[in-house]
Amino acid sequence: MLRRVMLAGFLSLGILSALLSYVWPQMILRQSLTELGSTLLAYAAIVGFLSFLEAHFRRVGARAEGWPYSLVTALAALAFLSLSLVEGGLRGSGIASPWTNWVYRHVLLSLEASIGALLPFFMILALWRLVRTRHSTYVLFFVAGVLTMLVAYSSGLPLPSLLGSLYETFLSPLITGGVRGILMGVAIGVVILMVRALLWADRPMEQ
Amino acid sequence: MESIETVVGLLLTMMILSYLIDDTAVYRLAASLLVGLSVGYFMAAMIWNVLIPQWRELMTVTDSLRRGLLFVQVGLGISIMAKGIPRLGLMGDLGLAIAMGIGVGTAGAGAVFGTLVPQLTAGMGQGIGVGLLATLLALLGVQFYRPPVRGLWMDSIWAGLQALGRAVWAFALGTLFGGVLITGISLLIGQAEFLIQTFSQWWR
Repeated sequence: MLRRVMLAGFLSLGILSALLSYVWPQMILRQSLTELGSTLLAYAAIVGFLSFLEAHFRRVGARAEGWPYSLVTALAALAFLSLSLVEGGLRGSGIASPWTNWVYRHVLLSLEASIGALLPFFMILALWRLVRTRHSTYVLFFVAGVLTMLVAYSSGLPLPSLLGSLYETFLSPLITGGVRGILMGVAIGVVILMVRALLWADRPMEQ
Repeated sequence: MESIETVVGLLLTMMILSYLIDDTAVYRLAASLLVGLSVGYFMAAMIWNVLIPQWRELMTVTDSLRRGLLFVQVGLGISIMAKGIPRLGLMGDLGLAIAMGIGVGTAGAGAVFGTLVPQLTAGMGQGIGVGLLATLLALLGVQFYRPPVRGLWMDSIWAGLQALGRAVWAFALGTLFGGVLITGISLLIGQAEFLIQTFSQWWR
């Protein structure tokens, strides 16, 4: 019981202090909260990183299916972090040290760009599966939205002229209004979630 | 003689793009490398950009208020790390509760001041038209409200409006999906261009 009360108190204290910086906008308060948030995130990242390593090395130790990939993942993470710490410490330039930067630019960014290049294939496959498995009117609206964007933004092709003034007068306001409605719906949901957490109606720490 | 950067980039690109043939071991290896390096980079960024500057400041700061604030931050941070030790679990939970509270509070305040207010202002500025109708329908589609008066007619009208709202959602989400797809296609063109240029240089 005491544990619950303490958790609820600390959670509410966090929420109220975050809200206070908006209601009573003081630079020092906002700066302190931002610093506190990033500090806690950094310490939580250390815990997460250790759990990440533990999970992968446990898979390696148990020779679980796909363990060589776990080994590569864990070693890559450790190697990059070690390189950054050693080189950054020796040169005093932190994460912007030459070798760390080289690995970031030529290995990590290459991999990210290549995975990004696979994105259209994943997305088209997902769209195809959606059309095949879900027989709903909403799927047709979804596909219409996708096609509208592809036609409207196919620069260099005569396709945008197919839409003519329909895009400017009807489709563009519909898209803007629809996205605005979605954003506002999500925002209302977030506010409700915050109020429920503040009133301890939702107990995120106990899940 | 090609630069080592080009060879590494080409090799990694080919490894990832081998997925187009099949879910190969080479692709999985490259994907594992990507995950590992990303995690390592995130961790290094946290240490160099957040923790080390804070520890350095803690050693040198003279202002007592600032020192107190830094001690609170470091103390709460260390309490989060205590979560890894089962005996000290409560201490870690309290640090996490504060962190979660600040996160939820900032998200809630951001939702009000960063999304709801600006979007309402922008929406009202556009006047009555298709945009406003789409916004209202999309909001009805998320079912935060139900009219207190019930009846066959009212229920049918309400169901119809919500169906229209969901259709607006589907269309708008489709356009967002299309936007991401266009970005992906641009990346694909960029990588294809890189491959073609590299191979044509080697061919010469």
